[in-house]
Amino acid sequence: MTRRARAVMNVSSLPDVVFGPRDIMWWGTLGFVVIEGFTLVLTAAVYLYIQQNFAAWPPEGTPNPSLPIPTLNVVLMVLSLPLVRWISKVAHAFDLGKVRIGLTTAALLNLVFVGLRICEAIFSLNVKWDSNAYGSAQWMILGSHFTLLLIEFIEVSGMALLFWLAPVEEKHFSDAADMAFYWYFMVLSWVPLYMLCFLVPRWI
Amino acid sequence: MLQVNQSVLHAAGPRAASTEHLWWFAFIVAAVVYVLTVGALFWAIASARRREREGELRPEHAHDRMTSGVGAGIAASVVILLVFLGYDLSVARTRDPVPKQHPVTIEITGRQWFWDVTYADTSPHGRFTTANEIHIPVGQPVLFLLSSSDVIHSMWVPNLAGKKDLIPGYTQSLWFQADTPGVYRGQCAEFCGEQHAKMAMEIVAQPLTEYRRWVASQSGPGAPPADSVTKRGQEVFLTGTCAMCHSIGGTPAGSHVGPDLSHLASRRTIAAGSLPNTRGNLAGWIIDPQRIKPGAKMPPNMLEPKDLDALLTYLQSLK
Amino acid sequence: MSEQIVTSPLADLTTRPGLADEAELTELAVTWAPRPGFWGWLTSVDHKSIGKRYIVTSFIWFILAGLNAGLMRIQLSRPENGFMGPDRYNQVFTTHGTAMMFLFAVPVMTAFALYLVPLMVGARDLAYPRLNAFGYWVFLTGGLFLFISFYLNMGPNTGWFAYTPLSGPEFSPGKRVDVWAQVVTFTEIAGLVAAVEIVATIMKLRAPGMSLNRIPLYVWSVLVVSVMIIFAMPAVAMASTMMLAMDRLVATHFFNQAEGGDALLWQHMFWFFGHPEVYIMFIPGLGFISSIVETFTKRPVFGYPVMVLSMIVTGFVAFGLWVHHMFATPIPLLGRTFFTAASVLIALPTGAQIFCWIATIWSGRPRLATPMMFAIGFVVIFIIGGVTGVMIASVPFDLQVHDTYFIVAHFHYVILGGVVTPLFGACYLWFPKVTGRMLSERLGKWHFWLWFIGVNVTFFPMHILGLEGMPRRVYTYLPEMGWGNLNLLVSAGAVVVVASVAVFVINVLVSWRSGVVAGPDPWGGPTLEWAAASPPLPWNFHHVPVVEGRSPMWEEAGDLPIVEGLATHKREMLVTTALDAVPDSRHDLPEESIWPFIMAVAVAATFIPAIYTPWAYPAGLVIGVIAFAGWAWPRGRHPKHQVTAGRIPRTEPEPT
Repeated sequence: MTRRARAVMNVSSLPDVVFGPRDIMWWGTLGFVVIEGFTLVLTAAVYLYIQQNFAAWPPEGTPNPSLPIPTLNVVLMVLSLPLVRWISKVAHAFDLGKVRIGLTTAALLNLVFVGLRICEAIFSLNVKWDSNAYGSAQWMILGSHFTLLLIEFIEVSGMALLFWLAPVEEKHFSDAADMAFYWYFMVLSWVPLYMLCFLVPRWI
Repeated sequence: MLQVNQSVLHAAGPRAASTEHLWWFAFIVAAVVYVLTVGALFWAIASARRREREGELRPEHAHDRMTSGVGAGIAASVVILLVFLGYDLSVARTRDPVPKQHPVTIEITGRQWFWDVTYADTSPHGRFTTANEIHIPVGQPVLFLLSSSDVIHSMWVPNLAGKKDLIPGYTQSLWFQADTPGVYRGQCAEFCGEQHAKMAMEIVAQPLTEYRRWVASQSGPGAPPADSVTKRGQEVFLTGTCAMCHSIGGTPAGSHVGPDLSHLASRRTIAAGSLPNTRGNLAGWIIDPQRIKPGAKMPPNMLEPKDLDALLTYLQSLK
Repeated sequence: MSEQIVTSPLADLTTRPGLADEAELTELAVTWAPRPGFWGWLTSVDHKSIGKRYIVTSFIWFILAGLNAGLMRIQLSRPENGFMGPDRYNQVFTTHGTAMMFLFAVPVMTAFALYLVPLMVGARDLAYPRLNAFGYWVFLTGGLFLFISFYLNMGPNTGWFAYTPLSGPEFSPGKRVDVWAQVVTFTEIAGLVAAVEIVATIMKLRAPGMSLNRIPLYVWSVLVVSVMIIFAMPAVAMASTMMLAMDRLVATHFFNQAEGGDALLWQHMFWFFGHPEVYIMFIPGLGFISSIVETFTKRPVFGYPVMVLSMIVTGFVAFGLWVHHMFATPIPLLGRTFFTAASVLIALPTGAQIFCWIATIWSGRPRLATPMMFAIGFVVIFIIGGVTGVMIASVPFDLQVHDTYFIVAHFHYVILGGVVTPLFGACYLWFPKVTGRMLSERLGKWHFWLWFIGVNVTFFPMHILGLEGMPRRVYTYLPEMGWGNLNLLVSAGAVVVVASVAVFVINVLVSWRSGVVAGPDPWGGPTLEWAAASPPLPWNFHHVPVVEGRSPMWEEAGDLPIVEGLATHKREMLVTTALDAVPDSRHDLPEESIWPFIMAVAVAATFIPAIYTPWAYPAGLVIGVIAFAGWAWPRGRHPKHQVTAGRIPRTEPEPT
């Protein structure tokens, strides 16, 4: 059986840099967002499961978590969202100078989140991971989300360095916009977890 | 085939019996479904090949006939599955709840690798502890309260009922009833470490009067030594390493690390069902438990032959 | 103008005759040339090269784990046998289960998908070639870590499911369980990587015209499974890497009753993963059966929408069954009823698929080549496991046979029947595509019949043993139990299974060198991989085919429509829209790189020392950052695409 091949379209005119769901890299970011997001959901589920083993929450003898540092951190995170939206906008416009500034600022902010998270764990939780299951669950939620903050910091600062020092290509602007998408996930996933870790023990 | 009673297919009580009936129903239905489905597959192959031999390209009204066939298969499957589900849920509902009248309540704590058994009679002198061999009255429901002091175990006496896990931090209840006198063997059914394979128990179902006699004999302390050899044996027990782990009623030995031995001589087996309870087996077990149950928590005990002999005489006096 | 398809070794069926095409093919061969030698193998990012080694590695773990099973059967063939003591036996069965479930059953399925999916959807490679390489190296690390530990007597010994508190710090001191936890970490990373690859490739890299309702049923099966992996694997990774490892290493209390933790929490987390896991293994097997049945009856499978819906429903409901592994624990009545009902009803979609295959065969022209025999064998063997599965959905019945050899029989029937039997069929179907040669049909028949007999003789008696009171995970049993004869029969059956696998291995080794040469399409199959050369050229397809139906190779219309314009001087692929596969953009593919391997070394250097100290995590992070820099830093290879301050990016495409 033989068939003759016949060209019906020439794709060389299609763009080679696109943004958002049109871009193949975005789907990888989406995949990791879903994986990490679901992992965070599971940490919350573990927290709630363990809570059923205790009459008081925090358990008797364990102080409530303190609020100043965690609240500062979550507020800063939410306030960073407009900056990140702006980064996405200037990335769509291929504006090299603005993207450089945006990424550098974002990297510095991310470093602040990382530092504050370390302070939250040491000074605000008021329990150690090995004191009881409540402590273990708290540290696991903070620690899991901390991993996200840390990885994003590495990514954003790496990207900032790239935009300052490397031969920047068009596709990197699409990657910078993807970073914004991930940043939204990183911040928005923390808001309910902040409530679970720091507000729920005080409310119950 | 069996010399020992440990089988799902020889129910000796109501719970196991209703499950056994459920099994046979499911087996027959499953066999019919299997034969019909595999049969349909082979029929389809044969049919297609015959058609090919006869030169027909496609069967007539293929699409419609396939739709009906698949539809019929799905519909039949739904009916069969729902019937099975209904029957099963009714068995679960009727057999699960503990009968209100259960004269005997027994607490069992699973430990690596034996069963710590306490008869929980509420009268002050009524509670007593034993290990691995459990007597119950025939024809009456018995309630077991199950827990564990180390890892997860599972109590399973297939002739009488399904299993329940013994989980540290939880107390689960399991009830069953034996309608025929006999000895029903059970085994731990949740992997619990090195000697999971040799953690068995025996349920001895007896007529009520014999059961009561057994309870009376178990309730008191272990028999005091009657002669000098036996007394020497008790001395060996109390002054050696035995008393560090084992308890015997009426003596200072009260440790619960290992099984209670107050009435060891009344038991049919030793080492959680691993060996018949004979003098020779007891000797071998005491000298080197690791040969029979490698990994068991009981260390070897090198005793002088005279001491060993006295100890055995003492242990065999604990009826 | 010639009407023939060019059949030179350099061409595939999507090539047009003519001088321009010869020049293009030559340039493609240069652009896509794999680097030579060991370094080339180490740095390869070609999904076919990685897919092949992934499949071979999985089968090596299969054989090693199978040898463990042989050791178990020797020990159990007689009561009170002294061949192995309990400590060794517990390591043997734990390694058997862990390797089969984590290192073979899922990875071999994802490996086949990583190889086949780009070819079946008409793409030049997977979406993220370097990530794919990374996933393989991490997978390899997991297997090496498990087996080396096992051979050094440091193997995990608390079962493949490692229930707490037995696996916790108090009752399993030492590092064996930590080895297990990290093996799980490595395999979960590899699995998640593969899942993301498969989803992205299927959603965005399909040939023009291949809308979602035209993708092959096999591609649907791996799409469903990849989504399942994304939701299931985090649970076990979290349970093992975070919670159990932390309980053991830094004294957290997740599973410690005394401090408010819960032994049952482990079971919930493990089985939330564990039940979907078995469907993750099984559903691609269903995809294999569809491919085989279509090819060997010359009909598309009947009831495409029912088939797709069945797989999606199965994948979804699979997440609602896990408590049926826990019926012997304290679960409220409502829970038991729900999970029983769900576990019974999940049989329905699979049953529907079987009926559709039977209908397809009935209306087609079945040929009983070896792949088809395995497909038939699948129905005959798997259904036994399927019906016992419905039985054990019943709580009263399950409470009798749970943790007995009845369960061992059940899951081996569904796994060997529903996963491995279709897998063997898939090997015979696609071996010609991967290697360019056919497997021997004669050896194939021997393989099949030894397999069929061996599996049944080995596992059918186990149903009886379970009903006659034999629990699982026991290193020995007493002579008076009466289990000796059946156990001996089981062990004899195991010898036949070993022989069957040996025949298969011989078939593969011999045929790879000297089997009958296969052209691109030896079976006359319906899907696009049969348009590529055998073995496919590095760039898979010269011109991307345009798809007009579900069986593109069987379309009867005159011309083979193709798309042209993809660059030949650089590695490029076509990205299409997610639903309707309209060509949308072009994407550069990376060249060979050592950085995925180095990143995998970083992962190994983090998680292996982590069984000794938590400081391994920050140390590993540093190495990881270096590897990431190497991976991601641009090399400046595309000056025309660069953006500098003051230079406006070009909006016109380059002239070809």
